Amino acid sequence: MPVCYTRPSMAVHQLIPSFGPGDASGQAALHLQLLLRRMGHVGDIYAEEVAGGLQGLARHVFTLKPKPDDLVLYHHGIASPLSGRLMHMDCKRGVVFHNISPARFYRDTPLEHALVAGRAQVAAMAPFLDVSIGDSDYNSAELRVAGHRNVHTVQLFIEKERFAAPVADAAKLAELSGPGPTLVSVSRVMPHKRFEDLLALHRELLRIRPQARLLMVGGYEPGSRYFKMLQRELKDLSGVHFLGRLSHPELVAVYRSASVFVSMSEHEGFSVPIIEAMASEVPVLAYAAAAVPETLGGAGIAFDQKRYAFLAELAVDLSEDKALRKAVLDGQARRLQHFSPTAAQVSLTRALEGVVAPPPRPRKAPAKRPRVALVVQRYGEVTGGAEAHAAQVAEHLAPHWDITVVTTCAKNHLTWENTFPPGEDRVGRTKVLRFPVTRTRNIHAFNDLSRHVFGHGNERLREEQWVAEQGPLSPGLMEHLGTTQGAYDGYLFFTYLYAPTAWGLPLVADRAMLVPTAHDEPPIRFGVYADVFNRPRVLMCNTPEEVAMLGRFHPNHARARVVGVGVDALPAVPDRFRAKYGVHGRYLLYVGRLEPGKGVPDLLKFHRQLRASYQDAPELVLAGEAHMDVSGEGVRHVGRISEQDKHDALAGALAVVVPSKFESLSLLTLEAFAQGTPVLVNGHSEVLVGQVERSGAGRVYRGLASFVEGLREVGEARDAMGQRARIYAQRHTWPQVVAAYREEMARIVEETHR
Amino acid sequence: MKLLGRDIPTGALVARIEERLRVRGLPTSEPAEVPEDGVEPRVDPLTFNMHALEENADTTRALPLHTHRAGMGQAVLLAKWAFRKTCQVLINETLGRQRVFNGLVRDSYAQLSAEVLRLRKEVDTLRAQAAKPQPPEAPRPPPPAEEGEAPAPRERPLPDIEYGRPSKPSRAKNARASKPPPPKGGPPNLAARPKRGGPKKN
Repeated sequence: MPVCYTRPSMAVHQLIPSFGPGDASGQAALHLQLLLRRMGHVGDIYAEEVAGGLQGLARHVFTLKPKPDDLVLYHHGIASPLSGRLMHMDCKRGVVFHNISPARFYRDTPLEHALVAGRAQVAAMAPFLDVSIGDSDYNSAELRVAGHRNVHTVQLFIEKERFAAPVADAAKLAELSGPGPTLVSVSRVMPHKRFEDLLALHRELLRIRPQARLLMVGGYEPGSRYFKMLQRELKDLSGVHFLGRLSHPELVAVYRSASVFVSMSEHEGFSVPIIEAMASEVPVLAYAAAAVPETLGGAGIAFDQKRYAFLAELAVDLSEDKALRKAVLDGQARRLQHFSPTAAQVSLTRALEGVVAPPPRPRKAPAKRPRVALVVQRYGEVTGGAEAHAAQVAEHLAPHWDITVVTTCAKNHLTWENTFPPGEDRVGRTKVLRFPVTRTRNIHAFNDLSRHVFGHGNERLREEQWVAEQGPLSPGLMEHLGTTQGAYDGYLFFTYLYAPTAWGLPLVADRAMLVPTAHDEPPIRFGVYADVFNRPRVLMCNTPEEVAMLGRFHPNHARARVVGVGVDALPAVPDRFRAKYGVHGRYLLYVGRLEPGKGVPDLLKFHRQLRASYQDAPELVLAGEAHMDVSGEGVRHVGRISEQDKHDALAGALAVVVPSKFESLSLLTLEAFAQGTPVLVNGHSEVLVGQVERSGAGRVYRGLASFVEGLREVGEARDAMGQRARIYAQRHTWPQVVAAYREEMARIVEETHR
Repeated sequence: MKLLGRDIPTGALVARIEERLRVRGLPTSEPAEVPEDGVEPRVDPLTFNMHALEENADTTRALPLHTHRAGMGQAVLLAKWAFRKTCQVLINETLGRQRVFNGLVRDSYAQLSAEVLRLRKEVDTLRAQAAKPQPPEAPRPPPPAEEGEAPAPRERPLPDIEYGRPSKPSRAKNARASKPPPPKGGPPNLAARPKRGGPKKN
């Protein structure tokens, strides 16, 4: 257990009436959470209503139990009982105000009361708050009028790469291609948004450009009087499309199909679609109502009168006058900098000054042995390459660092069920702190979600949902990272993919090292992992190919260093393995999990064809736990084998086959090299190709022909290749690896205490 | 018509478009509404809640009929209307006690909110007096006010009370004007106490 806790830092929780897709407040809460993590503050989102599938991201409000020093930020809009709940919470309190539509637009509707009640709640909360945040100066002004003190503006931000051209849904783009000009409006169909004015503008536009189109994106209520009125209005209009609610890639496609973005809204407290349009490189033409001029900040074009004939001419100019369009787009690009995460974080830091204390730092005098938290999703008697890697590193660094492994109680990586007892434990020479996992994983639902989000761009919500479902979710682990920042000099995170790293690393990024164990797989493209790769002090990679791949997907990644692992070769006696398992002739060997994801079916197929074509084809020996049928002529499955048996088998094999496409290192390859055995590897893995090219101790295959040819070459030059393999393996020794880790941690400690 | 945009030649652009409108025979200046300036006014929560309780205390009254759904939504509205028409007596009987209870809630709230308003006024008066410069010799304070009466004006500086935040009973007692001032040098300055970091916890 780490000793000498300094004062624990406080959590910053967020409270929101409902949390679901397509909700601007929910997105704002996620964005604030991102900034708060970057500032070192841990905290969860709590909601009265959580949409299906998002329970990993937001918890029910009844479970919120803040400590007296914690801050709860409540996102307020329309009337909600949460405002009363906030006033009675025994902690610091704040509000994030997203504005409320004026009730005058909703006279004699059920909404009118809720809108006025929401404003009454704004005023009621004022005396009970430590900080009030408006997401625009306009909203901040409303807070001051309502009696709030300590009011700050923290602008919403946009991740503009999520609106880049490649994110757009190709099918939607094709569907929307056509003559222009194309006006686009994005908002829920509500009276104060003045869709009738959009139709009036479109009517004028049709007079001068008969093929003009008007695309309107946003949810609507088909039975409402307002929508029925709009339907009557557009009966004699061509080119009008109500597209309803769209997925994120479809929304980007609509923006990217637009000539001009138009807003006729008569009240906006901020207007997120305006900055989305800016990020999508669409000129903005907006009625200068409420906060709209402030959001535009001089960019785009705002107008003060709805003269439709004039505005139609202006829309044509914006569509067709290239110089005008470019000037507007350049100005919008400049304006977008104000809505970057970095700029918003500056505002948030200023707003929370004096309300929340900054996270504690380690004591001034550095310890003789740096106190290091090694964070990994599972630890101990578990199977898994990254976990084994973490355990090896921990054991080799234990003499040099005061290591505490911070991990979960899970053993099974598919379900994350709690198996190990929570609390302190000891594995070998290493202290281990385990925290329970709060949600088990339904792997089928997770696979469905994966299919839904892989292969195209997503909004942050969907990617965060994927990380939450990936898990393991352990609030205790996160709280430990957030509240004990004074107890550790540095952090070593293992594996980029899992929630403890994705959400925990940003809390302590300036003292963190990451061992990504990354390979080319769909989630590595997710924007939610940008902080994981960009913000730590150093990435400890396994191969140059891993570094190159990270550069492709996260070009702003932190400094990367190729470290890898050390290889321990046990003295081997090949005949011992042959005798024990009854293997007599020449054989190919694969050791590892026998499952489709590892490329085993292709290996079996190639071996079958090899045996059918060549009478001296070697046997195929498979060692490891089988999750599929591995039977076949000339195939020997020997099950799980001991370390000694493995090394005996490696030493005696004609070649070791590595059929997996997804490798960030391939310990099997290095162990084969250490025994002087060449390899035959899947050429679709850049890492494996790199290992073979650098060592000169193997061959690459990409199909049956190259598999056969590679095997022939390995057979002919086995001795020479084996010699080169041994030389290559000698470069991967633990003293070198340990020295690299120590050097990097010493640098972190030195800079932290400078 | 005014265009706002830092990156465009607004004057030239307006002139160019006005000229095109003139050529098309369209009026170049139409009367139009100019957006209202300023933010939305404050809604006083005590007053609003009072009105809302009054409006909704009678549970036997129907809510306005409204639907946002087409088709079936209209049928549901019709069913609701028919239910009201035929079963109002039953509704009155079923919700009678609830109506009485709501009336009591409304009246209690009215009393409490009136009390809050009175206390706020008193606090405002005290704060205004505290802001005045201290006279050279403080006169004897008047006798304590009767319940329900406005507090008597005070002439000595008073502590800075956190507006709208309930204070502990002991402090409230200390702040009462009935306590005579110390003989010399004026009363102890409670405002000089270290300020608490957060709002009062209930």
